Amino acid sequence: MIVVNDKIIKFYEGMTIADAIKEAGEMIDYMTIIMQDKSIIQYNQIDKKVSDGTNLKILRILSGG
Amino acid sequence: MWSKLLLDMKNLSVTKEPYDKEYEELGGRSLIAQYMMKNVPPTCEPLGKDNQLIICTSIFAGTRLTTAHRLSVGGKSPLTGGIKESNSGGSAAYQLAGHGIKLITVKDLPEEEGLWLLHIDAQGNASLEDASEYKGLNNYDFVEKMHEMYGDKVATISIGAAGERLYKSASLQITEFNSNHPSRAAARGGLGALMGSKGLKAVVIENPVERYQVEYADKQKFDELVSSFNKIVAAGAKKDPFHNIGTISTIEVTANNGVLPVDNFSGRLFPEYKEVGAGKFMNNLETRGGRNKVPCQPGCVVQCSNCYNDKDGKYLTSGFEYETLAIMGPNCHISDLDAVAQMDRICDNIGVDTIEAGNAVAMCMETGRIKWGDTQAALSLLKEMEEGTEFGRIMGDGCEAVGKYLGCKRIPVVKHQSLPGYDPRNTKGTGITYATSPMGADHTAGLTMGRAFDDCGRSAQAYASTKLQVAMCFSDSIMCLFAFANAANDLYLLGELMATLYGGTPDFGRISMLGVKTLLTERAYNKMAGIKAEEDRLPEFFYKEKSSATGSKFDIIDYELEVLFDF
Repeated sequence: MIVVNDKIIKFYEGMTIADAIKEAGEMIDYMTIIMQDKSIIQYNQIDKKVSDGTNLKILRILSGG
Repeated sequence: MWSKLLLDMKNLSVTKEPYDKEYEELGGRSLIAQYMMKNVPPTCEPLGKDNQLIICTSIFAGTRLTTAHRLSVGGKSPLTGGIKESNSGGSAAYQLAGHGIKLITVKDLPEEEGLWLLHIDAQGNASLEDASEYKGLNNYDFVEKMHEMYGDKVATISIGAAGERLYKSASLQITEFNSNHPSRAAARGGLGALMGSKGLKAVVIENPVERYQVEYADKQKFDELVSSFNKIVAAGAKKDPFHNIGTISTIEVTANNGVLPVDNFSGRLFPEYKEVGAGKFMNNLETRGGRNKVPCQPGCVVQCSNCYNDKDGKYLTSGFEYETLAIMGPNCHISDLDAVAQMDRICDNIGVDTIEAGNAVAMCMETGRIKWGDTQAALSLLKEMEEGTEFGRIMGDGCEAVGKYLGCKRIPVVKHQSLPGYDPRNTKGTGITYATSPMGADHTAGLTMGRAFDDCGRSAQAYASTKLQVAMCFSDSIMCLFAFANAANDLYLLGELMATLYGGTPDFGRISMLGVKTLLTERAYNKMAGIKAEEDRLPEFFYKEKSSATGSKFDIIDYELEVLFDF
């Protein structure tokens, strides 16, 4: 299974980060930061494959500081 | 009933009085605006006897509303020459509220040479004490002494050597809840110099023996509402990069969109940004025993702060934020995260605004005094500020002072205050805020960065800036803007919370009108202080130079800025 923002979704072979985000119903744009486990994933890396058990966080910048 | 403390530095007295009924439903920025309009002549000298230092808590101080314990500091700014409200997290507002103190005002000037501190003991007795033994002591050493004397629950608001020397970039540093370091800052506008001019070294607030109990119109209903509100903020915080990483995460967005300032707002991209990015930051925290998710005040559910260690695992700095990183890092062509953390530590210790200091360093690089990206030279400049050398004192007066001294043609200031970490050519609504805010170039006054606004035309950008400037006026009166942002869809609850605390109708209009009134009061004050409409502009180079990242210039015309507040 893959966890995306606390939502559990079913893993399948060949699943990418982009696929997982779409399955979870999340949206991303240039204001979002993606964390895979504890690493930061760049926008241009979302076609990277995920492994079973990956934890993804889709985080959105709301303000500055 | 809430109290206020009135410090008279001419007579070296402190008196405690009941808090004014007319200010009952005000706090933070809204209180500062109305108090200053009534009590601080707009044409007074910022470091003269008629200016007042104002320290206050928020509208919901003393309650369980998350992040209600922001501390607001106000006065006529020695940097901008206009009204200034600078707010900070930390433990001081929580402890002041625990003693039932809503407001502290400091007026006049001492007649004799000296240094004092305001001490509020565990029983709530307030006294002005001789602090001459702490003269020249910087914030970290000062706070350590206060902890030795009064225990680790004492909260402090202090100035370092910078404030004592009246540097225009001087900050007030506040102890952070949880870490106890003096790493939270009321940084912008040189209010540390205002405090220094009054001969006041610090406010030292002991943990109260018995906490003040707030009087509610309907406590049961308030408690129900505040639990709901706090849960909403907490739920939003779970998806907030500020909670999961820290504010440094902002660079992951700004770096790829031409918003991150690079080489004194050159408009270029900075491919090395990953060396100072969120990934590097998180890796260093994990491998060196640092931590994030640190709450700077009790009850905060966003918990955006951090403790950052050096390569040997020793504590280096805390409250290490995006603004410091952006302006002292890529804006100075520096890609060494540890060096920027060290600069952050120096600035917190001597008590200066890291944005002003970083932009001052960039002036030195732009004019060739030191090389772009030379971290050792940048650190040496901050050391000069610490030592108070001739050039160090110029550095202490901030970006514009250094830029003019060195003959720089591209000085990124509005109303003498230097720009924070967002290039206005690629977030034009933010540029409008920089230009028109009564605070000077201030991102917290209305940051519009985000696709909904940045892709839109000029009218939409202006609309976004106006709306956010009003919203930030009431946010700065109530809570931390990071918590506020996570409750953006449920702000109507604030009207209900007002009613259950103060009575009256549960109408959000009372909150939004507070924002409008505060903003218009600040603009009126600045006009009376002599700040002209022509100062509501960005520096010329933003209009003329294209951002090489996007091809964009700041193309908002003067008329659009002039009519922004014709409500």
